[in-house]
Amino acid sequence: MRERKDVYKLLPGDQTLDWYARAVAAMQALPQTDPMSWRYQAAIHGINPLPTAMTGTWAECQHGSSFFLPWHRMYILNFERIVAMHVANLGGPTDWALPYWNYTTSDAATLALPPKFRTPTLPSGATNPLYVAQRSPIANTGGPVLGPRDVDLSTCLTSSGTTSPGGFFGGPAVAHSGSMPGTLELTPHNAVHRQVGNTFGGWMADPDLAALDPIFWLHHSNIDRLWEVWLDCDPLHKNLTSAYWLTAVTFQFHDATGSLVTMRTADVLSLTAPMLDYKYSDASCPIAFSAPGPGPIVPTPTGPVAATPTGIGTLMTALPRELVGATLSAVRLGDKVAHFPLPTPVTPQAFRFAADKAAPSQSAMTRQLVNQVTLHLEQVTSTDVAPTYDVFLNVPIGDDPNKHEDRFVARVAMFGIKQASDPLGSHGGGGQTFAFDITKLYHHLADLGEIDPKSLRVSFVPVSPIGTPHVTIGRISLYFA
Amino acid sequence: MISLQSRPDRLVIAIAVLSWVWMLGEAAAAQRLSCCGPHPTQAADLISWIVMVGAMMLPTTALAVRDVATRSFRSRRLRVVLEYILGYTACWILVGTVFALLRRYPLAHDLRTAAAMCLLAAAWAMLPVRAHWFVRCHRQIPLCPSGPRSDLDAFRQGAVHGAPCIKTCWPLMFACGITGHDLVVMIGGAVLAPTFRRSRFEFLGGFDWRFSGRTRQVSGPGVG
Repeated sequence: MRERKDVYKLLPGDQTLDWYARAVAAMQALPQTDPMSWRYQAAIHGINPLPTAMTGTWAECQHGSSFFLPWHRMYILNFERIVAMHVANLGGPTDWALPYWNYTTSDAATLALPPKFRTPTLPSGATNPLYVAQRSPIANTGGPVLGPRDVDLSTCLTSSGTTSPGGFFGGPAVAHSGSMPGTLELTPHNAVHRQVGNTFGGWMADPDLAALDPIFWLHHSNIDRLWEVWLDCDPLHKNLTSAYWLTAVTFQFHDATGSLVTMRTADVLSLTAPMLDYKYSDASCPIAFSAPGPGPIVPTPTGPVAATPTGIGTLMTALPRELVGATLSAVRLGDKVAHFPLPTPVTPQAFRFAADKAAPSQSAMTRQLVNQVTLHLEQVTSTDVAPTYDVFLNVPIGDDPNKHEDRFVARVAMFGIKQASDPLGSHGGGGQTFAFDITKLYHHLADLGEIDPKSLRVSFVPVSPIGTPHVTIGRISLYFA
Repeated sequence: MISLQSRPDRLVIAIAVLSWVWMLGEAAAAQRLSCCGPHPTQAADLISWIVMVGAMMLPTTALAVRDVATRSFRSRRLRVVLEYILGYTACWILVGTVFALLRRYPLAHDLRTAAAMCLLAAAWAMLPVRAHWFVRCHRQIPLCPSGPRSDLDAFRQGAVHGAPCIKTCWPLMFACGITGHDLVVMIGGAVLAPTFRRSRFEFLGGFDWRFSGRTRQVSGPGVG
């Protein structure tokens, strides 16, 4: 069984990255038409323009849906086997495995790009195949390219295993659900992509170029590991069980022999399956996340059944959540801090009354009236590459949102939004939708008496923008369940 | 009414069922396999067209109806769903009007023309651009939550879905219409149409911005 190791914990003299560099060089020397080549493998994730003949084979990366995790597992699995084949052909070990970049440790040094990826040349004077100039200058100079908000696991490792807004897996990938990333995809996945590629023409920030950067694969190895970590964190954390997710959709990749292999989600759920047969040196849940957090103090829900939408099976079931507030028009973001009022005409009392058909107690606390609160940024579009904002709730007027960490909602790195906003693209120009489970924050602020039941205030702080980003949010909305 | 607020997709399913019942009833009453006679009036043709849209196309909007309702206040759900259906159907009524006008010509009553349209529908399904139209059939637009703008947005959302659906399905619908809404052709079209679609994922309403799930040879010219 291959073991994927933490790149920051490789022992002195470990040759894993040296062999990776040699294999990358060998792959880069092959023509793009060769499935064993570097550029062919990168194009599977994204390429622009897409040659018509390669439609269906290149530019196939899955984002904003529950297929994000399984597709990328298949992708890096086959890539790993191809690199291993090159390593073996070059005289290296036969059990080479892709390491992972674990930037979520308590060691601040891991927030920097691993050293062997930073230098343009090797000690021998030869070009370093692991170096890419198209990265954030901070990354290539060894600075802390990632920050605590980029790698915060507190949301994704505690989120529920659903395709609902704020769930671990992202949207259900069915019609009219929109493109909605899950919690792991949003942070740290999107944030790391954006920060490493945060420069004009940065590769990691652009899905059409990201996989050209050798660090891409170590990043996704870690994302794949975090899927296992999430499963380890809570006995209630389970993979989805819908037949649609498991078996209905197939993907094709090239294996190490160059043959096409067809894979389904169900094929890649167990790391011990013969097709996978790998493990991570550490996939245990950080202790800080193993204890279940306090849930809302709510008696047995009496409202409508909140079914998890899973596609066509949702027909004829009750709607899972209820809109309680939304902006009346689109809002635009740029390179300045922006605040927007969010009218919420449906109060928690009114929501519970409509759900139960009975008036709740006037003294009922918000957490007793509302089980779940989700904040949505709907139909977000932009022509920029991965604009990024920190989102805050109810920051007092005139205050700097960054001084109110307790009102921080999420960092939204809009990886892939340029492609999702292209009317002629395969997404139809619908943009992306981001959803955040803000139940704890909402209840906390309500307990403090800092929630006006008729209106909220949402603030956006641009994160180290390159130039002036132009982002349109079709609607900011609030839902109760 | 409360039930429809929570389960608005029941409305389009109910409309579809009623449409099929109406067409079956008409056909049974006339002891034919189609609900229209050989030479219906233009008004009858248009009415039959609208009922056919209700029977064949509206069920495909069930998930969209849920989406529009979910993105609206509970108190406005039925209203916006009806506006969505109106917007979606209005697109098809425009096409139906053109169709009814074309029925002045004998060629538009010829079963050979219907057969040709069936072949065209099959060929249409193979067009690469059709996949793009299909994706646009599911595009969400922002919905204003209240006021006249909310009504307009719900109607627009229906039209935004209806227009690309017309591009996708018009040959099939014309084929059905030319036969006088022959029930065998309609049922066959309703059953076979999904299989023409580019992939199973699309049949199920695939929407992600990069998705194929297809089986396909990967080598080809022009690569590199």
